[in-house]
Amino acid sequence: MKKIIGIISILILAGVAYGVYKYYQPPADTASKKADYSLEADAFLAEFSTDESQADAKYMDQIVELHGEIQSIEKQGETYLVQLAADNPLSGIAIEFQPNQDLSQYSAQDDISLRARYSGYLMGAALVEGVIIQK
Amino acid sequence: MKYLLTALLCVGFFSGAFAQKYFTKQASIKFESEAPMETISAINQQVVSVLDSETGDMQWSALVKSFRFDKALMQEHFNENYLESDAYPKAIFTGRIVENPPYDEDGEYAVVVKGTLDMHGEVNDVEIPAVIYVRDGVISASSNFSVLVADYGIKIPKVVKDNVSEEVKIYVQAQYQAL
Repeated sequence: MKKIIGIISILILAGVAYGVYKYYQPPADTASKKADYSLEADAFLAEFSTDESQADAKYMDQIVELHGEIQSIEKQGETYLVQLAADNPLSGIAIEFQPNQDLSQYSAQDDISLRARYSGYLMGAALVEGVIIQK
Repeated sequence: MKYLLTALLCVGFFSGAFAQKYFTKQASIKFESEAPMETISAINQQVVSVLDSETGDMQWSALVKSFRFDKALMQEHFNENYLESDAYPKAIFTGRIVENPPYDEDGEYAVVVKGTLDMHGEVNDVEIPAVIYVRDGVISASSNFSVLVADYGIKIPKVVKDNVSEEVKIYVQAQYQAL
């Protein structure tokens, strides 16, 4: 009987520990995720110019690797916000990087390779949870 | 994009001289839910806002999936159970500043913005206090207000009523550039 109570107690404790772990778990680091797509920023944006709805559905919540030129970079609060170069100021690609990403070495007109999650399209494509990758 | 442009056209953002139109793609919206058991907050720094300084028309558009949480589980529940971001991907405020401030004079102007807030498929009339800042030709705006989640069809299950507040505080901020 004692053995059964002991096993049940261990199972309950393990369940509680797992629940606490899941509750406090931070969002997964994009650096550890595999990219669903990898392409040049221009090619990515061109898909939205051709058919915004189709591109939006294709990339929604997908991990995308992009390579492009920085148009502007700014640290806002604890994260860096980067706009990739685009001809039209009402379009473009905006990326918010993860708080653990240090982009202090980057400035406008630098090339950058990044991985991020596509979150939708407003005045351009928006990506979040970005990380720098080495190409 | 075309939906946003259509919305902008509807409120006349492109009907006059471009010098009186301002926009930003890096406005921020932070929300905070203070409940007895815990405080939940999230921030979105990719909010698009446009302002017509001639008419006082303004619009704020946010992608629901761009809100960043500290905890993965909260982000998941927010998107899947509460805001249902697959079905309602955007939150949009469209309104007009009641007494438009003088944008050519440096200052800090307390204003009221009347309009509609479209979120989670529900559209409500809202009246929001805000502050417009003008400094060296740069226009900024900020506002703090609250919304009742029930007004937007968001149901809080009884089991988490001590974790999620029925009233959520919203903090918004934007620094505009000329279009």
